[in-house]
Amino acid sequence: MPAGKQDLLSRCFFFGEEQGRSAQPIGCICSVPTRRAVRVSAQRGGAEGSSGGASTAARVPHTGGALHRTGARPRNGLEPAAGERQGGWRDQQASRVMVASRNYGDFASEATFEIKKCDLHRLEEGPGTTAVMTREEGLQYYKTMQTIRRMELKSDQLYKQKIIRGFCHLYDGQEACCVGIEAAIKPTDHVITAYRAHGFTYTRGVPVREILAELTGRKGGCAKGKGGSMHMYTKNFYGGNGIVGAQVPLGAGIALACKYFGKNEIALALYGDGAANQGQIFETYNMAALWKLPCIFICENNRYGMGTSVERAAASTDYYKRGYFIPGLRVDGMDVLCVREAMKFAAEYCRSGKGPLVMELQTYRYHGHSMSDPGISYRTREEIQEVRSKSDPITLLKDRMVNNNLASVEELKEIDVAVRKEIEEAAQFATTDPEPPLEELGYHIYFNEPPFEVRGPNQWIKYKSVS
Amino acid sequence: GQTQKMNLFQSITSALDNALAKDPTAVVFGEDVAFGGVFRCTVGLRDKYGKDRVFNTPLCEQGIVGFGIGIAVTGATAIAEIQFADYIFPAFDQIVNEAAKYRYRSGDLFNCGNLTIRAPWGCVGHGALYHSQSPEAFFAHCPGIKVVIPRSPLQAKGLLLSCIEDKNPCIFFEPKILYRAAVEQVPVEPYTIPLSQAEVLQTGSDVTMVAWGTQVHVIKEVASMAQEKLGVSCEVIDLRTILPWDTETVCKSVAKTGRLLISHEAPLTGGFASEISSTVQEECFLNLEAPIARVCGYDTPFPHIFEPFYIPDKWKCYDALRKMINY
Repeated sequence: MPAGKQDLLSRCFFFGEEQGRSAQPIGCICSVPTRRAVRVSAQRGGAEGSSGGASTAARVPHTGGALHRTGARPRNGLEPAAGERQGGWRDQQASRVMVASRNYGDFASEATFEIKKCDLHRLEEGPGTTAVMTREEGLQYYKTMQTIRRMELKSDQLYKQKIIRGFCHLYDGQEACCVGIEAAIKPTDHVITAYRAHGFTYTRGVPVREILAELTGRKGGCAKGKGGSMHMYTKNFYGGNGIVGAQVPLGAGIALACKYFGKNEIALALYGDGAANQGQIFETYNMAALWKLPCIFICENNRYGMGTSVERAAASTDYYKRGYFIPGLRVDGMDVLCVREAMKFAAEYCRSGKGPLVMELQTYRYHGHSMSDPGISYRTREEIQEVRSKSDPITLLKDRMVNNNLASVEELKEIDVAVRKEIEEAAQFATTDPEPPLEELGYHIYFNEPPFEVRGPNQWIKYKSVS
Repeated sequence: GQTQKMNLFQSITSALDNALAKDPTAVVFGEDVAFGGVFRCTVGLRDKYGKDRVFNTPLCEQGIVGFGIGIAVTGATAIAEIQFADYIFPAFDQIVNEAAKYRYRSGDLFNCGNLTIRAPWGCVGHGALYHSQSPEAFFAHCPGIKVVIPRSPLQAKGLLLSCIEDKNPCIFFEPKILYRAAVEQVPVEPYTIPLSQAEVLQTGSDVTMVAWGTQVHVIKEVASMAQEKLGVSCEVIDLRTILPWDTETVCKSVAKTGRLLISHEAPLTGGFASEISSTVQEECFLNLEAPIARVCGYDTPFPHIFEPFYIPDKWKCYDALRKMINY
């Protein structure tokens, strides 16, 4: 048997929950002979078992092919069946259903994609029209977007069961915006958004269980259950704001602090197409441009301000031009790579001290404005279906990855299953965690040392305000 | 005349319908009013009166009220809707500095009396911080406007029509929890209920209880509990108009009973109960048998999960009443 084939066998396979399947040799990922074999058959895609780009293999440290040659026990306890190692290997590959990734050599490590050109306002040049995405990035974006999608659908379910009450504004359909943005900024940058905040809360680092617990008002929530859907916070994420448009001047203030402290951080102030008509936004544009604040104003235009379509609410629907004296870009918000490239461009622009920018992300939300809004009285079901079938961000990413051999359908399905499980566990936590204790009713009103008594109908219960 | 069973939002629609029919210059505008409004208060009006009289505004409260003041000053009747009372604060400057002072500062040359602002008000069970506020106290501090809060569909229609006809800028707060919950037989024809007149719902001789909006129903229940368990006869007063308020009715009642309990959902400090309490102790000091009790919300922002513990429910009112009786 030629050396190449022998070495293919000794490559590493990762398995899913496929206990009981026999004859699955394991090895390390990049024994030196493997790399040689990989270089020999370097075409992408193609036949089963052939190798793709080799650079992934190169990055993983080599742990020695000696392990295999001594016939050491496979890690997950599966024995290679007698006689199947050599001859029938290729047949096994074909007949086996790999639920996890096949060997890394099967996939490309990165691919280049064409993205839509951004419309520019007062800018000489904008972000490029191609984007490079590596396999790891792709899988990470996919997992994050899928997690947000499933989390929002779970919130929908919990709301209908009346476990979540109050107001719940869901973000599904717009996942590419927060994922793309987060991919291009640093954790030390600052983000503030309006009430449709669950997506950003997740990408800024709050685990799903804390988000769901906050929705159900339990003490495990990220704001200890006292804020609810619209008021979620974490480090460098300033919420979650209920009053429309009120968060944008706050964002400019954060940008001023960034500039003042000189740590090369930027602030992103997000708002929607409805809020774009609020007076405070224009006041903020003026201040930011005047003082050259490192603030990026991002309008997530999902075409409807609650129930009013943009044509009926705005004299000019070119939201990226509304900053007038502030340069702007209009970005396809359903394509995570387009958002990422635009955000990279914008972040660099701001960090270099050129002042603020306005970015309009053209996106769409599948749910209504909030859970009390069916979402079909001001738009047709056909429209929602059309967007879902043609421009769904997760499907777009999935197709790109599969068609360019960055991942297999099974691998992505595996991620789906893992995400579902995580959401289920989080929902379980959110429904069983206890509510915050009643004493907390009066907490955190002010900042003061001696706790004072909260005035109220103080016949029975006296609440102390502790901070 | 002829009556029809209506709930609160239907009675508002009926009032607006009557107003638009009677006054050809009347216009109704606000966020999302064209399709009927988020609480269905303006259903059918656009079809009936046309889109130049019932129209949507973009999302800008300050703009809505400023725009309304402008319409009112020229002589047309403006009925503006602010989607939730919690959102009225961007418009606070326009109301307090422009609308309230127009007549005064122009020496009666100009006025915006034709302006009426409507807003859903009060707690609703799941509103959390920004869909449950009761800001009547902020506006009570502003001479020049009138603040009116109904407790039921029958009252709402009459009071709203009075506000619209009144030659002063009025703010009409509608208890959102009662939009569907309160149902009554309401006359189809227009009728008005005089402003600045409190209504005595139930006469009594031992304790006076004053409230407005949703809380009136709570104290009515407390009154019957008190009668049953303590044999105490309560006088229940619905204040109806917060500014200018009917001092006479309340003081006369306290002079008779000697005890006063005031209840509202808004926070205690600076809430309107403090104004009533001060005035009553000035007028009726020697008649008082016990300190005036104020059963109100706590001095915190309106909570999300803690709402049932925050609101002044019947048990808190009952307890306050008992302490007053035993003083």
